[in-house]
Amino acid sequence: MTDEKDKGGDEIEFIPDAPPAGEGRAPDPPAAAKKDPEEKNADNGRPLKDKLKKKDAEIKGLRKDLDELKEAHLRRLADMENLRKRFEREKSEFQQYSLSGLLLELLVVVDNFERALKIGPSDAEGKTFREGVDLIFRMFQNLLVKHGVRPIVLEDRAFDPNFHHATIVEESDEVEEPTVAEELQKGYMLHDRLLRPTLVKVLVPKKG
Amino acid sequence: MGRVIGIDLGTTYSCVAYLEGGRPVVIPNLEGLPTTPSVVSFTGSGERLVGTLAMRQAVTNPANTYYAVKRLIGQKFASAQIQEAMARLPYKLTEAANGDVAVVLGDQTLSPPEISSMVLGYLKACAES
Repeated sequence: MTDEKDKGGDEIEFIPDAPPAGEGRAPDPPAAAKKDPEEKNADNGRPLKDKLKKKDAEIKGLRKDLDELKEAHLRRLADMENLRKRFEREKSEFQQYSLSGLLLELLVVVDNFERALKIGPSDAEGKTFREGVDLIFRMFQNLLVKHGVRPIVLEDRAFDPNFHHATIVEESDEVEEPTVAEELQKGYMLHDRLLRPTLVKVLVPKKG
Repeated sequence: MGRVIGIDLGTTYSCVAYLEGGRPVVIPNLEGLPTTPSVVSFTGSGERLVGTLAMRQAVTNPANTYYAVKRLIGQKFASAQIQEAMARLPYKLTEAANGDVAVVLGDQTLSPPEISSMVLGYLKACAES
C-alpha cells in the first residue's frame, strides 16, 4: 500500500521530464503533452487531485502522530526530572538522618562517661574509676563491632598497602621485604571494606 | 549495551563518570572512593599498583612510585621545567630517543603517557566492574 503511494508520488514528479515513467496513467505521448498541456491536465487532473488529497490526509495523520509522540516524550522527560529531584531530596534527607540509630547508641556511651566523670576517683589509686572507664571502652568497642567495624589485626609483619599506610620508613639490614615495624594508629574495616588503613612505620631493605 | 564513560585525568587525582539522564554520575573506584590518586607504583616483587594502594606504600618505595606524571607529558628532557623537576621528584627521569622526557623503572624506561594510561586503564576497570 505504502509502496504504491510512493510510486505514485514519484510519478507526479517524473511526468514532465520522463514521460515513460508515467506508464498507464499518462497515456499521451510526450509530444502531445508539450503541444497541448491543458488537455493533459484535464485528463490527469482528477487522479492527481485524489492523490494530493490522500497525501494531505496522510500528512495530517503523521503530524498528529508526531505531535502526540512529542508531547509524550516531553511528559516523560518532565517525569524523569521530577523523579531525579525527588531522589536527590530523599537521598540528602537519608544522609542527614540515617545515622540516628547509631547516634542514639553513642549517646549511651556519652551518658556513661558523664556519670564516671561526675563521680570521679573514689579510692586513692583511682582503681574503681579506671575499671569503670575500661568498661565503657569495651562497651564502645562492642558497639562498633555490632555495626560492622572491626579493627585490623597485624597478623604477619609483611607490609600490605591493601590495609596499611606507610608514614615512616627506616632502612634495615634485617629485612628483605618491606616489613611493619610498629603500628602508629589502628586501622579498621567496615564489613568487607577498608574504613581506615593502619598507619605504620615500615622497615625497608637497605639499598646497595 | 555499551555506555560511554568520561575520565578526568588530573595531575594528582583522577575521576571517572558516565551520563545518566543527561547528567554526569561519578563511578567510585575499587576501594569505593569517588576519586583515585593519579599514582602508579611498581613494587619490588614486580607487582603494579595503581591509585590509593600505590599512594599508601609511596614512602616505602619512592624511586618506583610515579605521581604528577601528567606534568611530564609532551615535555623535552632538556627543558628548564624538567631540569627543575628532576631535583624535586623522588623518581628518576631520563631522555628518550626523540628528546622527550621518560621515567626510569629499574633498567628500563617508560614514557609519561604510558604511566598515565595505567591510571586510565585502572579507572576503566573500575567503571566496568
